[in-house]
Amino acid sequence: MKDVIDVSKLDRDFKYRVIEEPGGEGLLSCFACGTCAASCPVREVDERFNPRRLIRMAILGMKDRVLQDEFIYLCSGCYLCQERCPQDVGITELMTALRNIAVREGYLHPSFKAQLEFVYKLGRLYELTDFDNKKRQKNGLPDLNPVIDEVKILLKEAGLSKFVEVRELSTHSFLDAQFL
Amino acid sequence: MSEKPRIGVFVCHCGLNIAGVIDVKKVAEEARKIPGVVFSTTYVYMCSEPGQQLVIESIKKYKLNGVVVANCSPSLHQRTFRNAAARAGLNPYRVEIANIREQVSWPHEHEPEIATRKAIRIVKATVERVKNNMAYIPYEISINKKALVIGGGIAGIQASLDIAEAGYEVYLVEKTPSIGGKMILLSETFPTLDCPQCIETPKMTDASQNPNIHLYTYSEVESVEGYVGNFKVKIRKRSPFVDWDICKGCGDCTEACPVDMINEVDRGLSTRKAIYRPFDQAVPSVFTIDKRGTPACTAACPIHLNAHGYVMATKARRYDRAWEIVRKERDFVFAASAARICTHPCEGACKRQLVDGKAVGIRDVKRFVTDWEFEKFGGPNIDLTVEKERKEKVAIIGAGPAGLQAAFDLRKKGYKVTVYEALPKGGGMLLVGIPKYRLPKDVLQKEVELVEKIGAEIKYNTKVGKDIEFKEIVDNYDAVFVAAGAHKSRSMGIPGEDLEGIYHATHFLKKINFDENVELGKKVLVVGGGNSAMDAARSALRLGADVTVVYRRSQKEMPAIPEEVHDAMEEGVKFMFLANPVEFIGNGKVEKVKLIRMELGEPDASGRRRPVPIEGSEFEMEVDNVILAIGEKPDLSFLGENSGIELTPWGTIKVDTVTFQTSNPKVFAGGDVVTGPNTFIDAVGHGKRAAISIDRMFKGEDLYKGREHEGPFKSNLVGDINRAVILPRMPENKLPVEERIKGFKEVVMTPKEDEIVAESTRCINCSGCSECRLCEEKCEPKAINHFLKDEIIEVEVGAIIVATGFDLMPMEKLPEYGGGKIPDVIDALAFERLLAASGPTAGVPRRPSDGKIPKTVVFVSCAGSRDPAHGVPYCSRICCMYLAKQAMLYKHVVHDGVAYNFYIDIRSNGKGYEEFVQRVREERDLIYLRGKVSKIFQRGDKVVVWGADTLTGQKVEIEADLVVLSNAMIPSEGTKELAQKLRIPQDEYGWFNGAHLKLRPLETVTAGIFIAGAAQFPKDITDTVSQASGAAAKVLSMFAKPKLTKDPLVANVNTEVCAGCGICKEQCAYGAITIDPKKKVSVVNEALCEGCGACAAVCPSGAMQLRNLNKKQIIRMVEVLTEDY
Repeated sequence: MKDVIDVSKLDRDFKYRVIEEPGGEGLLSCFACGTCAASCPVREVDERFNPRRLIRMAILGMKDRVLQDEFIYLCSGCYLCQERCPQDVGITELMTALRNIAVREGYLHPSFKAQLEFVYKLGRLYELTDFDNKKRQKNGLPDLNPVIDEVKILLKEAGLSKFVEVRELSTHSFLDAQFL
Repeated sequence: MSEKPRIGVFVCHCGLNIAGVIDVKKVAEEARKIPGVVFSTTYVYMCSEPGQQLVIESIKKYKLNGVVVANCSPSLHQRTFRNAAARAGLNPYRVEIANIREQVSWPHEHEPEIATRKAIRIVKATVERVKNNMAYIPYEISINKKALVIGGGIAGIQASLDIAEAGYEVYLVEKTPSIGGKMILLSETFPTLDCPQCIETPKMTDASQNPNIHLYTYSEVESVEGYVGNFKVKIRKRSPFVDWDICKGCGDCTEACPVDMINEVDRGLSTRKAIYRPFDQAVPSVFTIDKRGTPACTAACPIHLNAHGYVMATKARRYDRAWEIVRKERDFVFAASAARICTHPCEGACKRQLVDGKAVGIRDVKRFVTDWEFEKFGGPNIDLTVEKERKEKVAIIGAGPAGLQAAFDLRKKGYKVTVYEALPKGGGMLLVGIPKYRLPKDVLQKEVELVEKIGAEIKYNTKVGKDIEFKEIVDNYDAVFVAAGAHKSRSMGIPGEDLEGIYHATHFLKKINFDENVELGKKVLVVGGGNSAMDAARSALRLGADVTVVYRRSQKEMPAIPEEVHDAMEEGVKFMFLANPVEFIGNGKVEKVKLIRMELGEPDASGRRRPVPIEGSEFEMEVDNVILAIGEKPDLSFLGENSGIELTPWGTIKVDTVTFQTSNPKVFAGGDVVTGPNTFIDAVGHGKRAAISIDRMFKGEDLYKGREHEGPFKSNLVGDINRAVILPRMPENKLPVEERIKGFKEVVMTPKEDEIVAESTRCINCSGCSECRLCEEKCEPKAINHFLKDEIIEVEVGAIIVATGFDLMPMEKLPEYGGGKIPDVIDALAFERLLAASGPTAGVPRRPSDGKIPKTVVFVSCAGSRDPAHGVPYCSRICCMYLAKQAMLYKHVVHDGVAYNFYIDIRSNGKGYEEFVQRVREERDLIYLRGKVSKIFQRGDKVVVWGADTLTGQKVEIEADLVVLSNAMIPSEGTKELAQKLRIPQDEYGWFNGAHLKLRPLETVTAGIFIAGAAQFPKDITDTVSQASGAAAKVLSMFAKPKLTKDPLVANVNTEVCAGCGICKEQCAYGAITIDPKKKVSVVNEALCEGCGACAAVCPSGAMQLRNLNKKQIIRMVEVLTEDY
C-alpha cells in the first residue's frame, strides 16, 4: 500500500543526524502546532508546501522523502515561520540544514543539477557565444574564454562533480501525496 | 405575611448579561406599579458589595418586609441576598429570586421586547409569591462527630488521616482485603517518578496505626440510614475465613494451598493461591480465603460430595486428605463403588468443558483416592463413631444404595436400624445389575459391610410381603424407610416375548452376578440403548457370544454413558441403530427376530427425537438369544392391600420432594421406588435426605427448614476459562481389549499417580477455595476458620466521604482492539505491574503470551475514552501522562526497544506535566504518532496495529510485540448500589455528582455526604489527594460547629387533610417520609427532607405542601404569568 508508513523502513536515527547539523538543533521541539504552515508565503502559492509536515516526516525518520522534497529548496528564507514558532524550532535554518544533508547524501534537485552541469561544463551559468564576445568588442571589453576549466577543479574539490558525472536524478515530484 | 406587604424589587443588570437584552429600567418601573411594591431600583452588579449594600439600606429605609431580586439563577445568589436581608434585620425566607438571566435574557437574546415583557411578568409573579412567604427559623441539628470514609484508596486514606489527625474518629471501609487502592499497584508516578511503594505505604501504615481510625477492610457498606450529623451505618465485614486477630501474616498457609487463582492485583498476569494476601505490603498484613460459593461439580452431586476439594487435595498429592473428603466428610458408604460406576453428574456440570469440551476426570480422581484407601487400610475406612445411643427404631426395606446409606446415617445418629433384604447379599441393583468387570463384588461387599460394622442389622433373605408383612414392620418401628428399588422388568408388548431364550437384562445380569449358569447361544441380540443394555451386551460377549445391540434411535440419543458405549464397541459388540423388534419368531425357543427400520421425527417430552417406524421396512434376523434391556419398574406388591401408602399414576411411591415423607407420616421412601429406574448416586442422595427427615422427626424439629439446597442444584460459578492449564483429559487406564473379553476381570484399573495429579490441575477452580483445608494444618497459630461468618457492625457517624475510585473499561468492550482475546494486548494497569519492581516480572516487562521481553511496544491512547460509540464521550484525563511515563520507563529498562505512542491530543495540564511529556517525546526510539488506532489484530506471534499519522496524513502499520491500551476509566464496580444506599446522584456515566460543578464539587446534594477522588470523575493522584483533603476540611468545618443548621423550607403535612395514602412516601428520594401507623398520616423527617417538592406535587389531597411554595402561592403565580392569555 502506497500510503502506509512501514515503520520498519523508518530511519529512527535520522532526527538525531538533523539535530547535529548546524541549523537543525531545534527539530525535536516541534509539537506540530502548524504556526509555520500558517505563516509560510510559499504555502500561499501552493498548498502542497507545508513546513509542519516536512518537520513531522523528519522526526518520524522518513529520510528519503524529506531529502527529496522540493520544499527544502523552495523555502524562500523569509524567516516568518522562524519568528513565529513557539518552540524555537528555527525552521528556516532547519531547511538549510536539510539541504546540506540532502546534498551530502547524494540528493540534488533537478533544477540545481541542470545549473550545476552548466557551471561544470562552461564555468558559468550561461553559455558564452561569439555574439557575446562581439558585443564586448564593440564596447571595448576583452574577450572571455567560453569555457573556464578551473571551475571544474573547484567543483571536483567541493565534491559536487559527482552529480554531473554519476548521478542521474529522477525528476518526478515527491510532493503529490494528499494533505489531510 | 399578615402585615401589609412592603416589597422592594431589585433588578440587576449583570453587566450586559441582562441589561444588554432586557430594558431593566422599564422592569423596575413596571415593578413599582405592582400593588404592595413600595420600592424598586436597578444596579449594574447587584451581587457585588455595593449592590448588597443597596439592598440592605433599602430594607431599612423603606421598612421592607419582602424582597424580590431579579437576577440570575437562585442556585447562584439566593443565599447571598438572604444573608444580606438577615443583616438588615429581615427574615431571610422573605427574599426570593426572579430569574431573568438564565430564563430570559440568555434564551431571548435576539428578541429584547419579548424578553422585557417576560422579565416583567416573572418579577410580578415572584412578588405575588413573596407576599405569601412566611418567616422561618432554620433548624438546629446535633452532630455525631465521627466520620465514615468509604474506599481505602489514596483518597480515602488521605481524607481519613486528615480527619483523624484533627482528633475525630473515622471508620475507613475498604472492599478489598487491603487499603492502598489503585495507586499502590503503580510502578512510578508522573511526573516526578516517585514510586508509590515509597510514598503511599507510609500513609497506609499511618492509617492503620492511628488510634482514631477504625479500619474495616474486606468490608462493605450494607446500609445507611439517618441524615446529616446523625447517620446510622451498617458495615458488612465479610468473612476472610481467617481470624485476623490471630493471623501473623507469615504466609505458611499459601504453601499448602493447592488452588491457583488469577491474581487480580497483577491484572491477571500472575497467579495467587485461594488463601492470599493481595500484595506483600498489604495493610493489614493478613491473609484472606477467597470463597465464591458452591462450584458446579459439588452443586450437581446429589450428596454434595466436595469434588473440588478432593481434586485439589489430590493435586497436592495429599491422598489422605482427599480420602477424608471422599469417604468421611459426607459419610459416603459407597465411595469406592461410586468411583467405578457413578454417572458423575459432577463431570456433567464441570465448567472445564467450556475450555476444551472435556470435564475434569473427577470420577477418575475418586477412583485413585479410594484405591489408595483400600491399599492403605485394606478396605473402606469410614468414621464408625455413633453419636449417642437413642431409643427410636427404624426399619429400612431394601439393602441397596438408598437403604444402606440411610441405614448408616441413622445408625450414626444413634438410632436402632434394621434393614430387610430379600436377597442373600446387600448392594441392591449394584449387586445384581452391575457386572463384575465394572464393579468387583468384593469392593461392593466391603462397603456394604460398613453398615453392619456401625451396628445396623441387615436381615438377608427376608422378603417383605412374603417373609414379613409390611404392616407388621410399620407397626413395630418408629419410622420406616422404603428403598426397595426397581427390579421388575418392563415388557415390549410384542408377539413372541415369552419364547424360550429371551431374557430380561436384570435377570440375565443377576444370574451372572450370582455365578449361576446361563445358557447362551452363538448369536445374541440385545434390545435397548441404556446402561443395562451395555452391561448385558458386554457380559454376553464375555460368555463367548456374537452380540448385536439394536436401538430404535441413533447413537446420539442413547441414554447409556458414552464411555460405556465406546468400551462396548471397542470390545466388539455390534450396533444396529434406528431399528426395533416387532416380533420374536420361534417354535418354543426364539429363532428369528422381525425388526423394522425407524427414522427420527419430532422431539418428544424428553427432548430426544421420537423414533417413527418406516412402513414396509421390516426385515428378519436369525438369533439364538434375545436380551431385553428396555427398563425396569418398581415392584410394590409387597406393600399389600390398604397399606395407606399413596402411589403415583406411574406406579411409584408418592413422596414429598423435600422430606421424602409418604402419605403415612412415619413412612419415608427414596431411590428407584420413588423415581423409577434412576442413577445410583441419586438413590444415595435420597437415602441421606430421608435420614435427615427421620432424625428431625424424632427430635421434633421442622422437617422443611433450610433444606433448599439439599438436592442437586445448578451453580453458575465459572473459573477463569481463558487461563486454564492446557492439558487434554487423561485417558482411562484400561485393560487391553483381548484381556477384557476373556472374562470378568475389572476393565478400568487404578489411574497412574502422575497422570491423576496432572489431571487434577485441569480444574479451573470455579469457587476459589476448594475447602480441602490443607491450609489449616500449616497454620501454626491456628488462625484459619473455614466456618467464620460475616459480621455486621453498626456505627453512628455525622458525615460520610465517598471515595470509591474507578475501574478500567473491560477489554471485552473494545472488540476493535482485540476484545481481550489477544494475550499481548494488555491494559495500562497491567503494564504498570510489568514495570513495577513488586510486580509479576520484577520490573522487567515480559509479554504474557511467551514471556519474552517485547522489543516493539505500541501505546494506545483513548481506548474507549472520547468515544461516544463506547458510551464514554469524556476524556479519562490521566492517560496521556501515564502512557508518556510508561513509554519512558520501558525505554529505561529495554534500551534497544522501540516504543510508539498513538495519541489524538496530548493533554498535559498539570504542574510539570507538559515539560515531562516534551522530555519523553525527545527520547531515542520513542515515537509519538498523532492519530487514533483503528484496529489491532494478531499476525503470527506479532500484534499488528493499524493507525494513522495525521501529521503526515498517512496510514501506519506496526508489527508489535506488545500493545498497551489506556482503557477508559469508568466508575468502580458497585458504585450504583452504593449511590442508592446513600441516596446521592450519579451522572449519566455513573460518576458521583457534586452539588455544583464549579462551586460545590466536594459536597453532594445530600447534606453531610461528600465525595473525593476518582469516584467523582477521572483525576490524577495530585488532584485526588487535594480533593480528599478538601472533603476532609468540609467534614471538619462541620464538626467544628456545636450544632448544624438546616434550611427550614421543607415539606409540611396538614394532618387534618392527609389520608395516609403513601404516594408521597414512594416519591421521596431521600427517605424522609414515613406513615404514622397509628394516625395513618404522612410524617416528614425535617432533617432528611431536602425540600425538592416531589411529595407536594403528587399529593392527591393537597395535604402535603412545601413551605413558602404552597399551592396557593403556585396558583397565584400561574395566574399572574398567564393573565394575558
